[in-house]
Parts: sequence; structure tokens; C-alpha cells
Amino acid sequence: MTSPEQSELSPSSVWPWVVMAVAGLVTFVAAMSVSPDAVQGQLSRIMYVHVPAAWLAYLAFGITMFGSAMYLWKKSLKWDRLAHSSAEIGVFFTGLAIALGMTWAKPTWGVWWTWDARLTLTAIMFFVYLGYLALRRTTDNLEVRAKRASILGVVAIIQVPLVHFSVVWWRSLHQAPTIIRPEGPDMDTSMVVTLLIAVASFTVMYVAMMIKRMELAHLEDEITIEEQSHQGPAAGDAVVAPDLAGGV
Amino acid sequence: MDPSVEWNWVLLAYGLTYGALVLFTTSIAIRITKARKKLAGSA
Repeated sequence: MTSPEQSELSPSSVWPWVVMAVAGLVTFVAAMSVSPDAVQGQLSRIMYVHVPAAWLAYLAFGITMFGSAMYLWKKSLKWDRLAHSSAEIGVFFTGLAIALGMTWAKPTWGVWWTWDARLTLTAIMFFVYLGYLALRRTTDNLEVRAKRASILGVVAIIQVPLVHFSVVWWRSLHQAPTIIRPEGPDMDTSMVVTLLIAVASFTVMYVAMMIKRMELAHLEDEITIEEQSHQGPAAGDAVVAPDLAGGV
Repeated sequence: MDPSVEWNWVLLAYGLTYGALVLFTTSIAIRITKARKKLAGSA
């Protein structure tokens, strides 16, 4: 069995928590300082947390795909831990993006939820990655778990472009891209700058979160290995599968 | 829409965001502490 690369416990660092708090504060100050939108008024401020949350979902699942592909190639558990940590954070931010979208939809569209292509595909993506996290709990064998999860981690990335381009490919109630488009941003410069600050702050927050979540993943792998080294044979170990092929 | 009503929605959205962020990061911190204690106990 492959053991975690670092066997001794290093002291837990505090600075990622500080970075997360500062990044959150920067987003809040920037979002509250900018002028409101001429049409949506104060409601436009929801954009400065909704869009970064959705961006982090994309980024996190992209990193999950990268970590999964690297595990399948290198067979090192550190890549599986990267994929796992990023998937959990991605699920969190997908759920947050959905919740914030609903909070924005109710006062602007008049409904909390509608079966629009963007919304429906995002919900499916959320549940598929919840399935990824559930799949990891089906076995304690670190290699088997990593292999199963990595295959799903690579395949599931197809949903990210589907979600992103759904507003372009299908008629949608959700607005089309307003920043990254051939004609340039369709927004006031101050709003674009604020949105970019919020996206950058959330990205820094993601990096800090990943450092702590990977520390946890490493500790969890250590515990699993520790527990398995103290376990005697299980009752089922004595049962041998029947040789139906007659030894051929 | 009345600006005060708009601010209520903004407050809900930001409360949701920062509340969820605090809960999620706290859960990571608690799980790290528990895992460290468990490993220290078994060593």
C-alpha cells in the first residue's frame, strides 16, 4: 500500500485562515463600495459573490480533473488528495452559487427556481460531484478508492463546458456572458473592476482553503493506514471464492 | 423595487455567503484538530 509521502506530523499553519479572512473582507469592501446598477439597483451587488462562487466551482472541478489524471498516470496518492480536496471545495462553491442564484432570481425573475438549461445543468453537476464524494466512501482501500474516484474525476469535467456554454447553446432565462465575449465586456468599467477584484479574492481564498483541506486529506490517509495496520484478519477473509473454472 | 427591499435581498445573499464560508472553514478546522488528536493518541 502506498503511504502518504510525509509520515511525520508537521505543525498546522495559521496563515491560510488569515488569508481566507482577508480575501473575504476585500470582496465585501469592494462589492459594497461600487455604485449600484442602473436597472437592477442594489440587487446587482449579489453578482460580486455569485459569479466568483460559480468561477471557483469551475476552477475546483478543473483541478479535480487534473489531480485525477495525474493519479491515473503517476499512481501517487498526493494527486488523489489534491483531486479529493478540490472536489469537496467545488461542491461547496457550486451549492453556494446555486443558493446565491436563487436569492438573485426571486426578486428579479419572480421565482426561486426554474428548469432553465443553465440552472438544471448546474444542479446535475452539483449532484454528480456529490456522487464523486460518496463514491470515495465505498471502500477503505486507498488505491482502489483513488482509482475509482480518479476515473469519475476525469469524466465528470465534461459538465463544466456544458454548464458554461449552456446560455449560448440554448435559449436561456439566465443572462449570456457579459465579460468574456468577442465584443468586450458589456458592463460599466467600475463594475468590471469590482467583479475582477472579487474573482481574484475568491481565487486566493480557494488556494488557502486547498492548503488546509489537503492537510486534512493527508491526516485522514494517515489515520486509515494506521487503523489498517492494527486490524487483524476480517471474518470474510477466510472465505475463498469457488473455483468454478476447475483451476483453468 | 424599493431600495430598502433590495438591500434586504443583498443582506440575505451576503449573510448566506459569509455564513456558509465560516461554517465550511470551521468544519475543516475541526476535522483537522480531531484527526491530529487521533493520530497523536495512536502514536
